[in-house]
Amino acid sequence: MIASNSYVDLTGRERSLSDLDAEELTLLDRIRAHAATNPDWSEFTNFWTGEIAALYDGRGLSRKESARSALFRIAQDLDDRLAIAQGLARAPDYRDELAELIRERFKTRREFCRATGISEDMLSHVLAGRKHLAIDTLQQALARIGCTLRIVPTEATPAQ
Amino acid sequence: MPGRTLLECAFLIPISRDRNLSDGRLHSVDVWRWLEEELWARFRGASRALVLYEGFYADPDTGGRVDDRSRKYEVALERKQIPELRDLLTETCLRFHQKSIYLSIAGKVEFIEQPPE
Repeated sequence: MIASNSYVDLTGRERSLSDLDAEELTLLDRIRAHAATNPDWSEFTNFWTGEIAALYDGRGLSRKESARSALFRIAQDLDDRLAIAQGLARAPDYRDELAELIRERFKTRREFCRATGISEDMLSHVLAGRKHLAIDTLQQALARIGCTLRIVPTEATPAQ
Repeated sequence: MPGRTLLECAFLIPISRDRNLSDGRLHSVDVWRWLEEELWARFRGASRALVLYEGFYADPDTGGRVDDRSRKYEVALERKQIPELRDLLTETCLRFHQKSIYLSIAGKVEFIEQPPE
């Protein structure tokens, strides 16, 4: 997940480490080393949030600023990996992304349904995990709101 | 925060979605991230109990027994921050597909429910 000067997260997104200063890199090493010992998920979360708070609070950064830092994001990704490996959480699927899209861009589910042509009943079943949308249906619905589906590589499935 | 009286607030987040309301699956890491970021930004963090809390209760709609395992969070807040915690947990109910969330404020227990549609 860390190759040379970058970090590849669970979604395949590469984060450059070149902007991290010496203190941040040292802390990242400590957080990675701790994650490598496979600690209990909550213990790990307590660990890295405490360490990052100490570093950035000391620099006078607001919590919103520190949450946007590469160090915070990488620690979160390590946290995600641990939760998944320990069977306590799962990687997001398209329904999770759909729910997030609705929250971010629409006031209500109804508004989203009007914009995309998906029925409210169907959306409710999909978001509750009871039904799936066919790919072409989803693709057409997303096209109506200026979005599209993409296939991206993940670390879990190495390219051949 | 010396000199300020803080209230110990604890809440339980089941690690799976409600089986009746939703599909009973584990939560996606995205919603855990969201909760952690909210706690980080609004309340400057929280502590998580090192063990999962196992429990059971009667489902208010079906009457059936529901067993669950939960992550327990603790935050120390000023009294004036409590409404914000309740708001956060109301949103948490929605995002984590829960009918209600157990919240204990200085030993007094309440259940935070989803907002009406």
